[in-house]
Amino acid sequence: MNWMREGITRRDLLKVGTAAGLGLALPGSLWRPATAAEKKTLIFTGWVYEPELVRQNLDRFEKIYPDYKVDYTPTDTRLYREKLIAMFQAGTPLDALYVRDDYFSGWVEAEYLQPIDGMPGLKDLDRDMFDFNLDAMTHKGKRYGIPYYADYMVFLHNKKMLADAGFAAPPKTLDELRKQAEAIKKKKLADYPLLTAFGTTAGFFFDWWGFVYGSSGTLFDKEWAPTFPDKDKTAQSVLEWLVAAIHDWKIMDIKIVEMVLENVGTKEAFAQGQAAFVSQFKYNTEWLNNPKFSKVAGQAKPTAYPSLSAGQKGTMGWTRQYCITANSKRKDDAWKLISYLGGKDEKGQYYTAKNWYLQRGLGFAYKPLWQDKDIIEATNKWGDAKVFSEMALAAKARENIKAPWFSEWDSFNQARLQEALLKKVKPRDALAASAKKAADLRKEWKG
Amino acid sequence: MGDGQVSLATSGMGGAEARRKPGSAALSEPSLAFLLNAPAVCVILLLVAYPITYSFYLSLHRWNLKRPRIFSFIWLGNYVHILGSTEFWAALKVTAIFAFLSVAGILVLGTGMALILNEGFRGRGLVRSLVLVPWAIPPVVNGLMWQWILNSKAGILNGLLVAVGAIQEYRAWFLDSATAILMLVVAHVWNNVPFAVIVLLAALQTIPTELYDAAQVDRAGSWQRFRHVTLPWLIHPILIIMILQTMTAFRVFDLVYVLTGGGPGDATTVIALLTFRTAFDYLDIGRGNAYAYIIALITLSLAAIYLKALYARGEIRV
Repeated sequence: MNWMREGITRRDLLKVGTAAGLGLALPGSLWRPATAAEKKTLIFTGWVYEPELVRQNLDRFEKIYPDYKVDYTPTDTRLYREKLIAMFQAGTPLDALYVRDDYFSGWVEAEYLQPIDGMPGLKDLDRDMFDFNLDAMTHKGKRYGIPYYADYMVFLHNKKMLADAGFAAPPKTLDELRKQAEAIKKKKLADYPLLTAFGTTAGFFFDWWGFVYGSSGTLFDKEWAPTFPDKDKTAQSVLEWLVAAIHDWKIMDIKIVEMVLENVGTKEAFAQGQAAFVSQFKYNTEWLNNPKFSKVAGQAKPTAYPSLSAGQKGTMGWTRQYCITANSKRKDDAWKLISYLGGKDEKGQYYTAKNWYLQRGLGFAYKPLWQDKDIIEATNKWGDAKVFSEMALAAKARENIKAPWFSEWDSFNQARLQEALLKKVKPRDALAASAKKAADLRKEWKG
Repeated sequence: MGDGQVSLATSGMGGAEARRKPGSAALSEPSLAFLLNAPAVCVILLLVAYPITYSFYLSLHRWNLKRPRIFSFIWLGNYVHILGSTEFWAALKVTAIFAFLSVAGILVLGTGMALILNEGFRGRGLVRSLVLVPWAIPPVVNGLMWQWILNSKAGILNGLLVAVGAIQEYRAWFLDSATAILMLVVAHVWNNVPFAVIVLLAALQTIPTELYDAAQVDRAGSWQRFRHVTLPWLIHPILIIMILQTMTAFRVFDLVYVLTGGGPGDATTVIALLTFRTAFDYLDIGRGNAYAYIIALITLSLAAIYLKALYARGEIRV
């Protein structure tokens, strides 16, 4: 043989090695199970909220669908939007992600997300959703998201503190709220019985919307034209009430102008027993009634917002959703993931939505879940299923949330409201300036 | 051995020429320098010049990511809009006040600390090291730290002031416009003063002791020695500190974002925060870039004014 005569050259060795490798590898692949490298990998991100629970949900998904592997990276909550915009602009590979309703329409317009119309099972899910949630995930007639969670603002009272002050029932109107708060203050049960959060935070100021909607008020019409301060006087009356609550009746601390809702905010202050009333995210009701975290556990009871007149009702709701990125090449696979996370599992159950609610009290967008025995039982341990389900029906999204100028107006509006609360300008002037800004932006954007 | 052979053996360049292949073109010394620097120049062009030029290009366009398909050239439209907006002038005023107070604070405190650290005392080395600590803290962390210090319900500053009887009850430091800016300045000065201390301390150590001896012979007091001996020697480093710190103060963002978010109202909204909001909150990339250029132009102009004012007086020779 030639090689015996001339010896083995480096080229011969490579040829033999490659042939041997292929020979071993090819038959093997016919019978071996799918390895990690052969699985379909989906890249997924969301802001940091209970990443361990998210991972547990994803592990369950991978177990149900063994062909998939989910590469999940939580992204810093505070700079989530900015980081994601940078990633979109840079074309960073990403299949699915969390999206908030205040920048949802902007991201659709920026072509960061792709529609999910016609995906299998979508119509069934849509049928079960509350209208405002469904609307929040729809832009210009196209559907984009599946709910991660959906919630609304609630008004909580400390039942024991109210009882100590001689009140058997929580206030139904703002006038009753004032009387109860003044009595609590007089009895020195709390220095400032009412807690709200009006510190500058992009996209928030939920208490403002909660109080206005709680009095059946509107801030914008369907064309995003401002209805305040004249067409609908609710906003002005509510703001005047809040200003008087701080400066005249002293039932609310001026420091609310630098307070936020949670993470060293009104939630923690209420949990310490510092106040009798607080406006809060509904999902925090569970936390506030958990003795591990709260000194008022068992006493934090939810009600509808006290209103200007009896019988008015409403609250502000929001929808956080799972969406598929426009640059995802695996739409069908990404749909499988988000429809599992935000919809039904392989048994046709709203597994993750129910799990989030039972584990952390995060709200859901599906009406049938309010009939679920486990949910009702769990809710009544720390809240009130009847109150919650009624409020879910009365909740509505911010009317101008999809306007391209929402963030710019929101930032301006927060500053004006703070000035009014600090009594630097009159409530009407602050609202008039805010309405003018909205009108100017509407004109600039032609709608 | 002839002369030619000697020169080849003793000169490196001659050696290189000797090894050069026949027929290859000789590179002149400047050409070789350009060639060797070319990779670095390319990197700088790619990473610095291109983004700066592209940013300027974007600033001349209407481009908001909420309507990405609308991308039109509008000349100086974004700049005209910004200069015509009340938000911009309000933010500029806040930024100017913040910059003035910060630079003044850093200079006064930095000079005082540098003079103390230039004296001999026990533990001077340790104090010199400790002074540098705040400089090592990133602005965001600095902001978060001061958020706790100034917390209206549990802040250590409130605790301290109540303990010594300076105030009766805990105060909210960010409700009033003046105190909000002042607290931002305090946090910024604390973070940046070590830089001034290092630069000024280095300058102080170069002043010849003979000058102080001569001044003492002339019966100059401590203030006169500082005014007529120390200060003239510090003018150059002070100029550097002023330029750099003014630029830093005009670009301040992290601290304001974390501590006040621009509030109460618009009381602490600085230009960099407005730039950030415009670009990342409102997604107006065209206008956001115009804001960035306006900040750059302002800081550049201020640097030019400093240089002209101080160099033209002949107090500095470089």
